[in-house]
Amino acid sequence: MAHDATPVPRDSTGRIELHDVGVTLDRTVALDQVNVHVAPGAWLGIIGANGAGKSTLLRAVARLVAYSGTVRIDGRDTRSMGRREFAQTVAYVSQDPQFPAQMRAIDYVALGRTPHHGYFGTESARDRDRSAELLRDIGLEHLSLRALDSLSGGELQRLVLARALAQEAPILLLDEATSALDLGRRVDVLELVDALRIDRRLTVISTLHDLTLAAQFAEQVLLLAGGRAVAEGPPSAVMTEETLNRYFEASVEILRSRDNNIVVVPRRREGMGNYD
Amino acid sequence: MVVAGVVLVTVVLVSTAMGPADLSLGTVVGVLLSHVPLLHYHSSTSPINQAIVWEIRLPRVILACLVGSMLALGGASYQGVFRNPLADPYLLGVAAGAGLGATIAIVTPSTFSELLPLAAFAGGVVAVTLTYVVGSKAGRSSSGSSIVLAGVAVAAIFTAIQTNVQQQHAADLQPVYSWILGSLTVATWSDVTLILPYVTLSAVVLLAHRHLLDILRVGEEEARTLGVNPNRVRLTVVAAATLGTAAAVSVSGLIGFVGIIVPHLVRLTTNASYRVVMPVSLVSGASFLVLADLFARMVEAPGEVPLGVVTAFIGGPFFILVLRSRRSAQGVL
Repeated sequence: MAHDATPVPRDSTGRIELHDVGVTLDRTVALDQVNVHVAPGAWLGIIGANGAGKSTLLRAVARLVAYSGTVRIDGRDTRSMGRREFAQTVAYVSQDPQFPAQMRAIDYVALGRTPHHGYFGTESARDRDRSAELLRDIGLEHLSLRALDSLSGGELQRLVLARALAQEAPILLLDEATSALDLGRRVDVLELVDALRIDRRLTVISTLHDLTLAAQFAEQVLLLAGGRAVAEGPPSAVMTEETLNRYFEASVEILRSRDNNIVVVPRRREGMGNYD
Repeated sequence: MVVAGVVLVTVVLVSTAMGPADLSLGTVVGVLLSHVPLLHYHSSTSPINQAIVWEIRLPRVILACLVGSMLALGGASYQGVFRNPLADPYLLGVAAGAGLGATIAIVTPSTFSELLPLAAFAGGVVAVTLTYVVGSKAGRSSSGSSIVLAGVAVAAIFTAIQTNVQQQHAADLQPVYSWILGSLTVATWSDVTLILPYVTLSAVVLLAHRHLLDILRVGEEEARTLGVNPNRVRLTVVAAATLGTAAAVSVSGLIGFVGIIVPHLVRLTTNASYRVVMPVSLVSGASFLVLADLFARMVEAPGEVPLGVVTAFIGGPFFILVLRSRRSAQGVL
């Protein structure tokens, strides 16, 4: 195993292919025969209405739910990977991470190093250094010794990212990593993910509720409805008024911002709100 | 950790020196040195005092160290595994099982008193095994709550049987009670060698898992995505903690609250990481029980207060403080 201070450049690793991935939860089909390919270093945004199967898809890729079909990473079936090897390949940030009140920020980040030491192993000096570096990268080095319950929501969210990055896995799965944040912090975190993705050649798959942000950050979007993949491609191709109206059972208007980004504007139901 | 170690050494020496026959610290150190192999140091102390130190006081103090550190480490482990600040080493029925085993040994005529620890140990292991079987059949609850509920049920059944056996042999109430209340009065070196292997094995396994207990604090799924199997960690830790605890109570009787007081005190003074809480609890648990035992034999000298009564007397009020202090309770989670 390489023990260099700098991560070894990974050329074209982090390619993910899902073949007929299906998940059945409590005898209902939560995910039905989903096929999608994500290129190394790309960002796939998963969009869809509540209950469409967005989180389930991420959880299947993260091996947190039993699934049918296959998930391949760089051509290898992930079922054939050992626990630690998989944890060195895929990092996952859940929808609501738990923060032990008195754990220190640096210790929390260092937990991400777990796949790199043995079952009973403890952190080496190198693990400590990596954790400290990550805290610096996310701009929280001054909070390194603070207890988690003294940090703000935005700081905690960045800390979770740092913990996931400490795994040094080429693939990062984010389940609504920004839903608890205000608008400014949300953009901050997504910008951070994007910068790290480019810097470290990470492949990112994230679920995103905010369609306007999804269109700005993801290069490729997958629209799920009722557990099935109904559209996939670049945001401008998938996020049309017709498609979104149909699968979100909403009435939206797609606008273009000054810098030509897609802006999704929800409209009120017809016959409501017309008081003039 | 260094502080806890220094405190332990001091407590051990002072506690060995104190007693009905007043010995000086120098005498104690001298006798100890004379037993260090390869040192060839000869203590000038009288044979009587040498015997008091080596045959009476020291086994008792060492036994208190072993039992105290095991109960404290077991408590910290249970609290980490079940993520419950009030979990203690007796959670899964060890105490009830050991109580039944000890009662049967005491009331059965013609059993040797040496068999008492073995019977208590066997009872504890049987009870916990039963808890496991029932708990794992009852449900595959990931938080381990079904196993805790099974522990409550098994403990109730064993306590009922024990009470029944006890009532049928009313003449033996006194020794049964004094065992249940916990005491190190008749500690010998053979007690020490009886439990030492189990306590050592248990402590090594538990300390090796301290980093994994920290990972469990961030949640089940996070642990899995970090390459750790939370169920395996839980099972191993609970099995090790139970084995050590069963061995400890088999010689000491049921000494309560050590497993709750000590880890919480440690959490209040450190950063609550299990990497720190586990080893410091181990060392502090030893000091705590040595002190409690010293108190038990000094306060009504030449009589003795049961050790379990002393720890409960300190433990009760402490428990209330723990409940009031959110900091310590949060440290578990």
